[in-house]
Amino acid sequence: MAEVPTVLVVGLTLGFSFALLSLAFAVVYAVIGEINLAFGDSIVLASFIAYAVYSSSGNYALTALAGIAAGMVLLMLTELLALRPLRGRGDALVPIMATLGLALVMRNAAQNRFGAEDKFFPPLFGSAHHPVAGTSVDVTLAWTAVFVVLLAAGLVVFLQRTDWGRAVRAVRQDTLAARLGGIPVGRVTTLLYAGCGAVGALAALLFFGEAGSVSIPTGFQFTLNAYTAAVLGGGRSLLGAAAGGLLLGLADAVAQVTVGAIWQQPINVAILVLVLVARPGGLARRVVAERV
Amino acid sequence: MHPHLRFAATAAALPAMTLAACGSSTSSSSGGGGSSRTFTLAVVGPMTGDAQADGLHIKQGADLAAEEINNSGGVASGPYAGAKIVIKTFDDTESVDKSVSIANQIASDDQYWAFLGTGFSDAAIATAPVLDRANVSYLSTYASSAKIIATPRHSVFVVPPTFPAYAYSAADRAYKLGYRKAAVLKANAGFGLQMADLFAEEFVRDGGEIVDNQPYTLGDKNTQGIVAHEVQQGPDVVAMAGLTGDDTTQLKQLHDIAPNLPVIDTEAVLFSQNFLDLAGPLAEVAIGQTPSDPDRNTSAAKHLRDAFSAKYGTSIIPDPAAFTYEGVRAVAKALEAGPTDRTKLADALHNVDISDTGVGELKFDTGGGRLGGILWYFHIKGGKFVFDTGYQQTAPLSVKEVPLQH
Repeated sequence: MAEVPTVLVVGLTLGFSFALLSLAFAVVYAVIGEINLAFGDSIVLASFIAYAVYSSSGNYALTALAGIAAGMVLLMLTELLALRPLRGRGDALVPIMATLGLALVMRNAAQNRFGAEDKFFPPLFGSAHHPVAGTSVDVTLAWTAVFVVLLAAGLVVFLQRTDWGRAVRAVRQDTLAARLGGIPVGRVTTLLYAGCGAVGALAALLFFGEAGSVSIPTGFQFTLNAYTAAVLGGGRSLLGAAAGGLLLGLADAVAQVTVGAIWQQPINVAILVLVLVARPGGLARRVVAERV
Repeated sequence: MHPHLRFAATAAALPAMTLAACGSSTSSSSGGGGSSRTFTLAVVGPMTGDAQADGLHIKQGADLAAEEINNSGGVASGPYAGAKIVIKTFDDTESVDKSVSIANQIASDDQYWAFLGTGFSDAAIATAPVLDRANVSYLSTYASSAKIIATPRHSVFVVPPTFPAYAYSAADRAYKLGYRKAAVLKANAGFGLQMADLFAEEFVRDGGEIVDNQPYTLGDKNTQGIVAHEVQQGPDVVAMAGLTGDDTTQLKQLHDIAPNLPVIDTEAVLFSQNFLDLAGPLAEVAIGQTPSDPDRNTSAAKHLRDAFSAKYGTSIIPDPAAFTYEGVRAVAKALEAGPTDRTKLADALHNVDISDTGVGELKFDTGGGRLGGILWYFHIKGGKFVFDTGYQQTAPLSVKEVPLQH
């Protein structure tokens, strides 16, 4: 029982980080159902671009803007180059494999340009921290939590109250009907990927700032954690994805603090299976409104 | 999307893809007789991929040694006096399968006289029997698990001190510094697990206590909970068995909750400018080890430091570079005995005894393990490595403390 406060603090630290990643991933996955395996490597490459800007300018704001812009551009390129030409051509596995290939391209691009070693990454949102319950709460956690709440609320408002949001919902409901209804499906899809890239890059910048370094292999973990959390959350729900991230963080914390990190992956898989068995629709069945 | 924007986006993507598609390649020559003869050595490591830096360092050491040998007239004496060393580089991408595939290629091609390198011990353990069966001399110049030579093989040599030398010396150093309760943080991979076990074994033998022993997934930076668990067990030192990037993240996470808790590196991965850059002031709690003390005051050490600095712009010689440099020097020395084929080269390597390669004495025991290698221990003050003492491997499972050679 003595470990409970530590589990909670570590769980929230990890959970909000996963939630922000998952929210970014779900912007595409929850709306149009596409799985982008290049997601993690794209936002890592965006973070390396931010690192390059920081190295030459030392300016935190410029670094953050460069990273977010790079994330948007890279995800838009993913949509335009790897997915759009393959959409609607039969086998659903082909676009997924295309994003896997693109993930390797992104990873190699980062390695060739920046080298394979981790690079120092500054705490863009401050480095203050406070010991709490045997661990430490970083100011980055507070910022991450704020961004999760603001973005989740903002996305719901965007989807419910704006013309573009209604267009997104129409595309989600029936792409063909939306197209026939005059909605620019291509532009809406690109917009979703740009949003995914912006939020994903923000999540990566916060994560690397807290970790102290930017690292290429983290890309795969980003994709895996974001996807797992999104599935836990029901697949087609934005708020569910955020909740899935929090649950995943708590599960990792339980493993790390109590039974040992070697049980982290088995516990994650067990929770995923349990949730899918007990609630096949995930933690939240739907948040994106059906009415158009 | 507007057509112009679409075009611009496509154009912007092409350079990135082209950049990513670029690989590395090398070439070599062989053949000839007398002083025009060349001996080609295969130098293998992860030249691309996550461990690319290790591969680059392996290549740096090999290139420097070959350049020095060739510029000073080639093989120094014997029937091959004047013969030149040619380095051919192979990229195993840190993949065991690829390492074995390259080993098979080298084994079936008589132009290669020896195989040096591989990044990690898993690859070395798989590669060693393949090369030994073909009587190709294999000098492991970074991987140093004792398992590589657990089954003695005539053609297999481990140039670095073996894992027990690293781990035992780290345990002994920690104990002598007055630490009695150690928490171990280990990468959940072959090298991390083995090193952690050996450290724990020696630390307990010395009289210390292991209060926690936690694995983490290599490359995982979400280790706050593991670090918190370790600190809660009340250690007075944390022993790390991981890689530089992970160690630095964990150092930061430790610092946030236990600011002055010292850490000791069991893997010799902290002796790098990259670690100083990553860790900044946090590095001051770290104790590390390296075979290359830049202040070692022997003519060979000064020569190596100056030559490396002139060629690569730094006097911090990474471990893979130092050991591969030694490996090439060992082959050149063995060639002085005039081995007539690859099998005879292994015989000659067993008789090599170089009093100082620049890194230290180099000779092998009958099982192919290195004898005489020294690990120099340092702490960090003001962003500089400050050396304190050394540990020399005297037998496969034995080290002794030796004074600095400043």
